Amino acid sequence: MNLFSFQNVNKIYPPYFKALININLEIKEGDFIILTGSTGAGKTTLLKLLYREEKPTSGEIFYKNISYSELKTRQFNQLRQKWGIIFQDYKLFPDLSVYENIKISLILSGKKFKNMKIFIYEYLERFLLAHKAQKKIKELSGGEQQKVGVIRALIRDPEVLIADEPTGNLDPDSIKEILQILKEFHNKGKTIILATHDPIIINQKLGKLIRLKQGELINNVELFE
Amino acid sequence: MWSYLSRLELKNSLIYYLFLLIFFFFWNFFSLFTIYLYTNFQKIADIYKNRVYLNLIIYSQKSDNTTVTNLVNNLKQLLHVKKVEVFPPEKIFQKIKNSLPSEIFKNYKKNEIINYFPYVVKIYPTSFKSYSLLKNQLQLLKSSNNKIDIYEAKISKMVNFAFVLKPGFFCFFIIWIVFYILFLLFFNYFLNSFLDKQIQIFILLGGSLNNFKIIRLFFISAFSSIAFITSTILFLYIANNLSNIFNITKLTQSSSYFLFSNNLFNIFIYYILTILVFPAIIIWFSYKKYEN
Repeated sequence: MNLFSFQNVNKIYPPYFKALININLEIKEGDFIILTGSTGAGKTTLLKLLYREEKPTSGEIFYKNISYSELKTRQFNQLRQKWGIIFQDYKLFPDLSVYENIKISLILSGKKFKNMKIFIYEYLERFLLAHKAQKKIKELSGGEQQKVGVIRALIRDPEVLIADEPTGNLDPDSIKEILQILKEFHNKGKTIILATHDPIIINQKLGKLIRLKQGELINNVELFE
Repeated sequence: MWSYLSRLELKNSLIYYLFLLIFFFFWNFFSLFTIYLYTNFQKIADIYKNRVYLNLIIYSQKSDNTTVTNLVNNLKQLLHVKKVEVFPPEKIFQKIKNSLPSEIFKNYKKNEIINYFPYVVKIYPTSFKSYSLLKNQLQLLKSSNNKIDIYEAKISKMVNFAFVLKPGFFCFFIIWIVFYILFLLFFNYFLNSFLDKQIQIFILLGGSLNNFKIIRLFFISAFSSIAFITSTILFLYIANNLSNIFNITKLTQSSSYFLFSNNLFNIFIYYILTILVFPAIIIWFSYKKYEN
């Protein structure tokens, strides 16, 4: 069964900028999708439509064959609780600490933990951020903020991981760490949709490569299965 | 999570909540004060409403006694007249002779002075509502007789004004409440746009808007309650002093504190509406744009 499907989806930003043109796409459960394309190709817009930060101008998006337009706010919230989203602009609460940002995400996921604090610190340790756990987000560098954004999404152990340029500001060691986690995720049968133009990730041949050019889907090449 | 959400809500917007506190302090104070003025005015009007009367002053010579008697008889036949009392010039003279300058008595005889005094006819209407109608009838009488003048007692004017004030007060109070609702709308929309980014993040992480709505209602109610309590205490203090100064307490047989404690249920309804119900509806309304 398709997890997500796009049917004739168009997105036009007023007055007439066509960000996405007639997108038809199917994503199955367990897929590892790598969306690539140059800057402004429409990767982020496609992901925003996927996690409903924005709505399409025309066309339909389906989740498990249910149209997004049929889903109520409460139902969509429940879906987002099961998803992990890494945002290109991080979307962290600047006035809360690293630890608090991650804790809120975990609480909202609805998962129960015996010792949440230890669990969070283990993740922070893995990304060499444990010593900055009590620092406010606004006191961190761009790379560190991105790591927090990545941890916040991964720590939920989500059913679907949607990642928009998760390695944009990271050092090679952190990129390796993230790739390792992504592989572990995929091996557990989870779905990953990742937008990137980072050649390190693309060359890893982790999954299906989908290329976007000026808002249009130009090919759907299977790199690795 | 609630503590984090509270911090997110308050951290950057504390100054606006303090503004709400000041606004509600004065709004509530003015509301209570308006109600206080209105109720006391009505209470006093109630006390005097059976005592309103109109004075007809008839400038007539003593020899015209029969004319006055005829006029009084005619007045008694009028539709809205309950009682007529006639005060002849002699009686008026007796009442005020002590306040007249002594030189008058040296130059004129008592009878000569009395001749200058008018007849005063006190006319009581059948009910307070017929006061104005009676006044109109007397105005007609006055226009046909230049020896007659009408004098409205101050208390009658006040009672009449209290009667006219009633619908005006309700119109004013509705406008006053609409003003408060508009302020709440502005406040919530402003806060939403100010905190838009964090609301969006919270929703994208799977958070429910209800959490933000509850937090907003909690803070609005908390700040408004502080303003309510402090401004009510200040109001009671001022109202009680004013009542003592103007002797209203003695007149209405009830102090401001007594009036307040006697209307606890009404005040409870007022509190629930202004601090919980109106804000809750407006908060619910203002978050509509975040729903899918």
